[in-house]
Amino acid sequence: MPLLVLVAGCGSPASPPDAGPYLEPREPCAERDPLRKAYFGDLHAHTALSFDAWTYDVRNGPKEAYDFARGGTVYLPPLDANGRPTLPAHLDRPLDFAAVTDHSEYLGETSLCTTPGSPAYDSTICKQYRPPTASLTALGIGGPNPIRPAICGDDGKLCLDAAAPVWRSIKDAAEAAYDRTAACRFTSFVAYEYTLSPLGSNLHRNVIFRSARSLPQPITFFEAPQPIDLWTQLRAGCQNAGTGCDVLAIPHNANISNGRMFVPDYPDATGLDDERRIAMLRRDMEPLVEIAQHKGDSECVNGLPSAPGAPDELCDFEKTHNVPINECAPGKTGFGGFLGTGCLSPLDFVRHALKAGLQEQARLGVNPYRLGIIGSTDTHNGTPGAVAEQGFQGHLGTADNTPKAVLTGQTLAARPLVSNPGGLAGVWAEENSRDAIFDALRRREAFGTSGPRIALRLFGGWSYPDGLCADPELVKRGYAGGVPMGGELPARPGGAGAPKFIVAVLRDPGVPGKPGTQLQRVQIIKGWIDAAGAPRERVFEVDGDAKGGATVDTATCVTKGPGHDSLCAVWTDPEFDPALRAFYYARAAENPTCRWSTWLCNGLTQPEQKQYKCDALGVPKAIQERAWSSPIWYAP
Amino acid sequence: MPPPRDHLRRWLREPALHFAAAGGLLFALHATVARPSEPHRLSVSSVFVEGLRAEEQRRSGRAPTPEEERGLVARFLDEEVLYREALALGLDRGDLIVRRRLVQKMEFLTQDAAPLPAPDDAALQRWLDQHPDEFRAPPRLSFRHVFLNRERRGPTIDADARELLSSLRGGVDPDRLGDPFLVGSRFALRSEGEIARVFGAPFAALVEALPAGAWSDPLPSSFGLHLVAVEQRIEGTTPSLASVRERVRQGLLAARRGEANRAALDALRSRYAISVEWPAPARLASAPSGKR
Repeated sequence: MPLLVLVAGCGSPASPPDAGPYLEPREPCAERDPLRKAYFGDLHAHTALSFDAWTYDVRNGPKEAYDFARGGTVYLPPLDANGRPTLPAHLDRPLDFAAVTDHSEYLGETSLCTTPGSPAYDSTICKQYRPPTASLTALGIGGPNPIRPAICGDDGKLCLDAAAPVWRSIKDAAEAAYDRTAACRFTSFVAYEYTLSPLGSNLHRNVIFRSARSLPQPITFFEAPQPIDLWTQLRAGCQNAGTGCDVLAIPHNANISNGRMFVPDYPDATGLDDERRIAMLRRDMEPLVEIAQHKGDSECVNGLPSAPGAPDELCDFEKTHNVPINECAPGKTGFGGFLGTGCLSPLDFVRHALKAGLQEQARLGVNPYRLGIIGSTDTHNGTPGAVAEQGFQGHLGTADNTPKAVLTGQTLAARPLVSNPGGLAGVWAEENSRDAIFDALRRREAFGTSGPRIALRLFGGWSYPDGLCADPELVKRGYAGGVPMGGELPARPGGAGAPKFIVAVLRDPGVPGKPGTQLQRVQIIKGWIDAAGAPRERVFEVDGDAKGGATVDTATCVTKGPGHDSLCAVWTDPEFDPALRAFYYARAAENPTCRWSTWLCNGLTQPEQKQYKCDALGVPKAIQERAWSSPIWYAP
Repeated sequence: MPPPRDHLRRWLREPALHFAAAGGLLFALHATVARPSEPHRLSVSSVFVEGLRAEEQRRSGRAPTPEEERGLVARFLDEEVLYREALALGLDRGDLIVRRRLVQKMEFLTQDAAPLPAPDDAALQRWLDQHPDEFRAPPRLSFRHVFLNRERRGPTIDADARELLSSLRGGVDPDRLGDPFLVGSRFALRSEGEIARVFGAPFAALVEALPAGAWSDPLPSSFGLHLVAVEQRIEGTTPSLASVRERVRQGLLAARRGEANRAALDALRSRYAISVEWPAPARLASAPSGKR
């Protein structure tokens, strides 16, 4: 159908050969919608196989994580006398898809140190690694160079060998969870997290494989000490290996990267052509960024003198950094972000990275930061999709599973108090299969939410009629007359004015006993490079109520006031300059609701509230949950 | 979840590898194990001292000086003497931690010991047939709907719905009626729970109860009103083996592994003459349940 031809064109040089609709054998999905549906998932979930999770008494493995995502019950610490976790956890409603992304680094070490009778179990390193010391640095984490601990032997072979069956078990769990029947109930992905943290700056990526045709072993920071090594090796070892393997990488927590995640950087480039090659490699390997998760929001920030633009009050959301802000010197980066220290750069936030991408495009002809947007949790409990503020059970085992630990504790990374339950990844896909969801991720027809299942659509074109929001064929016309989120506006037709955008939002319908929250408003955020080459941004109110009459009583968490079940508008850029590069993304906000810490404090006794300083936690009592679309780009 | 351990078990039985693995304690046990005939003889071989040296080098990054080496051996001798004296006094008995560690080691050595034969299709099919509930799909329906946006239409929504319904029943193309619904107008083979994820639970229950074939009266959801036509309803089915092979395989292997482990334990048990003096039944009945 011509519609699909129009929207599927994203000719990455690394596209797999056309093998029909499915790369792997499976029944065709009964529900296949050419106009695409919203599917919600979590592409960032750790289990007990991750070196850090295990030391916090997390015992759920990949199988349990997928069971949880599909609606099953799993158990969290504390452990009983037999070492079994005791607290039940389950999702109000299952996810449509998930990826278990254990830290690929130390998979073998963790297995050796946690398996009684292994050759390293009784070594000093393993004893220090296990509770009660629970020293992560015992494995060599945080050192200036990636060096395997001594338990691996001089050539690291013992740990690589020990990692092999662990990696196999991860793949087996993904295989078992994937629904290959026509019902297409659930999609899993073979995946892992690449955990590069030079000098404590977070450069982590989740590596997601299209199918079971993945790698014999993950490419970790031991093999790939810089991100460019990861992209190069994924391209060679997966995409170009002739095995049907395909893959993409999703960076996360730019907010604790001290400017390093998105600082334009072309290590060892021999000239402009080489920089262009690297920029293309990055653009193709990393089509998305995780904008929100357990360790905070990475969309935008107020208060950075070098980040122009009027204050945007919705940026004050789930911030993990210290106040006042210590800003990186212009063009410089810092270190220590993972430990809650170091300088903050505008490039720690996606909005500014998108602008830096436009600048790089002007310089190189290639935009290395053509980033679509998703959210996820980064749970370390093996609980993908556990995003509810009310009754949040924590994401890091014993580090945040009691009121005391979560309200007053301190871990290596962000304090539990400034952390949050995290978000979800949304995709617009024809069906719930690996192929359809992976394709949606690749073409950036994806969106992120801070947790709720808000469905958000964005289309850009040149001639959408104003009355489309009342047209039952809105979506069909959206595709036919332009591009969906993640795309680039078609060439401007002669005589066309400013670009038009269809923005439409549907609220979270909720579950029995926990109705979803109504929407307050939807905005479009435009970023561009002005005629002088300077990055600019502006937030436009598009539909809903910017003043927001609705409130939440933080003593009871009862909400009241007006809101919207859906929002929709056809919006025209009122200050369009056809000569300037730009991007546009949509942001929909719910009415205010209680933050998880407020729900928790409200459920405590008065002495406990006093003991944990519930009246002066130093974090907001209410939040506005939200959804972000991937951008649509304009090029002159 | 635990990965296969064959390779670990192999290492465990090859003392020569233990220094490579820095498993110092294990090596020490092999190197100095006391002969029952000479319980007070303690000889340290040059191979063992070289091992200590290598481990120290790995730990600190340089070879120990001769003085440091003597210190390492002296520390080892102290530890070994205390360890043997403790054994002689029977201090290992009745110690819960020692007991648990030894049990863990034996479990590690005896469990999952024999590789299981890969089950053939007939065995997998049998397992699927014997556990239908585990794999059975819930009842599913396919339907389409025409949406009326409550906010957009306001007080006329009920009259509008009646008008649309008569158009639909008159055969007008449903794609051209109603308000846009962002997440789709047709849904196929969804369970009630999967319908609830999109529309909310009350609406899903209403749809579930509809007869197939005709346009329904207006049904409310969180978003407004919907006119619904159920196109197909299928009762719960057991899926084909091909579509759930890996889950069936894992289920079957887990069960077989459990049986094999049980058999291995039973074989060990059979070496013992076991007698249990059961307490009165009444006391058993009042024992707390062990389920978490």
